[in-house]
Amino acid sequence: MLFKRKKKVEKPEIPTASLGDITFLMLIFFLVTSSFNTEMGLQIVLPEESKETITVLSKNIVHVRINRFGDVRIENDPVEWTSVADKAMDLLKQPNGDSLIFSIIPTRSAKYDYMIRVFDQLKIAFEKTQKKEKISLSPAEDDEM
Amino acid sequence: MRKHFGKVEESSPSIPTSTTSDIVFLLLIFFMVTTVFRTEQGLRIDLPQALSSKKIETKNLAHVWIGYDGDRGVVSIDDRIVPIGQIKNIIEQKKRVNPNLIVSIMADRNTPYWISNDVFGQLIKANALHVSLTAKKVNAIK
Repeated sequence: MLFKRKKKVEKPEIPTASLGDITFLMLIFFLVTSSFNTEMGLQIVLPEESKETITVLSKNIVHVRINRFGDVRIENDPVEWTSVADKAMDLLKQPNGDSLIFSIIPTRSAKYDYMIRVFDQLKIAFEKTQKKEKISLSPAEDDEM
Repeated sequence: MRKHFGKVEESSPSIPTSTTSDIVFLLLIFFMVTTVFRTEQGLRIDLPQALSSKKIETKNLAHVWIGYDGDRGVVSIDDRIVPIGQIKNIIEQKKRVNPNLIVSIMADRNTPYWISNDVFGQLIKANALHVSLTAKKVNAIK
């Protein structure tokens, strides 16, 4: 058998001098892009503890009740929680919409999550109609037997 | 006076640069390992989700963690479990240090509402009225 004589191949070299710069760029990149635990949340201002009560026309208050199963009632009308935003937007577009205050009243054993999702829906309604947000969290009610 | 001294001719020394990448890489690893992202551990909770969740400034935040254990509410501030009745005092103290305090409520989505209701009551008594209900930002509700 005939063997070809192997050609002598010159060993290629990779330049290593710039590796440091590359890693340094990586360091900078990760420093810039890493976000230091940004917190997301729904902001609310709680009512002040005051001796005198503020009188609000009762027709301007929209009661949003949430029971322990997560069922939502707006002024005693049962509403699917996903359509609370639409319902609230309808109410806000009424002539007295600017003075409406939404009051969320969960029952004591309702889940926190139920309150958050209704609150979220109301926020969306106010955002979409571009009105000043007037949502209040009322003290919890006792569960109906 | 004579200013010029006889200079000794030196060949310029060269620093080996092939190892700088290793050094920088080690630095990268070192900072990645030593960075503490949050000193506060809080409670193990499953945060609620919301569409309209907004970014909050972390500068003036005080965290109040709310969880539950059976029928009992568990509230943790600064990694200490505190009775609900004491929240007022703790928050009042924090408010004195930082008048622009925003209280961030980190509550488990399955906690019964009455626990957070009682916490809100305490916050109102402490006159800490700016509250953020922490919720994961989602783009669609399930």
